[in-house]
Amino acid sequence: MATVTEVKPDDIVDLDRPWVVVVWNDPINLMAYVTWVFQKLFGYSLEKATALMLDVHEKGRAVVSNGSRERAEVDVQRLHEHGLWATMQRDDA
Amino acid sequence: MSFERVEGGLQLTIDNHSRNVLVQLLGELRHELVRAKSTSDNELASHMKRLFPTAYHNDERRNQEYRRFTHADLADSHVAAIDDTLSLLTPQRVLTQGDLEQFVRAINAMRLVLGTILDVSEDEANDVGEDDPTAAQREVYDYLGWLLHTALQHLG
Repeated sequence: MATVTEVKPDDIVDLDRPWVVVVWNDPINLMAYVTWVFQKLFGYSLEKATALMLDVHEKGRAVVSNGSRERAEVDVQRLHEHGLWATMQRDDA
Repeated sequence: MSFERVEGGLQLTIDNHSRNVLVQLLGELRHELVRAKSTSDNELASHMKRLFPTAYHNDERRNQEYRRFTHADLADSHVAAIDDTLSLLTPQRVLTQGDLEQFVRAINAMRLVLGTILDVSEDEANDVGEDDPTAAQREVYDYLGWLLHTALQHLG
């Protein structure tokens, strides 16, 4: 049996836009800790994880992953479990 | 407290005073997390909100939906890291990589909450005099930072 799912207009027009996960700077998390979390959760090399950490520290934020909304929600939750201030939004690039 | 690489993992050596401080702090945070698990966003203590950030940038409707499905799991995850860490704080305990990861998560969560209470900024002028009422808490905050940094040197 088919089910009817409510589809909102903004879900339709933005289907092709991936979601991005953004980590924001905060004054408490250690730089070494943030780097370690990026390596652990995303499998990034030390060089890439360090570069992202420095973006967070110096620019205030960095995009650390992208993909479907479901994928982004999983990444955000894992980052929250590790105490990082992470949010998700549609890619505005 | 120190870590030494031995066969089977890292040997944790911890003195009684350090262990007692950590057990007390972790116990207090655990208690607050259990309470936070059944607390709505608006009713969360301000220092605990740092462990329950919003997920959707500028989208309150989706934030509420996301929070409804993840809030309890997030609280449970923090509690699990604390419980694992409490079980590790025994003399001459040998830690696996997984143990150390849980240890680091729990110490970091504790430091986040304490840093929020102390309103820590990136300004270098966070040092306070001995007479400051927060001096003891800041000493603990600094100790947690040292502990975290030391533990991270053994992860990789």
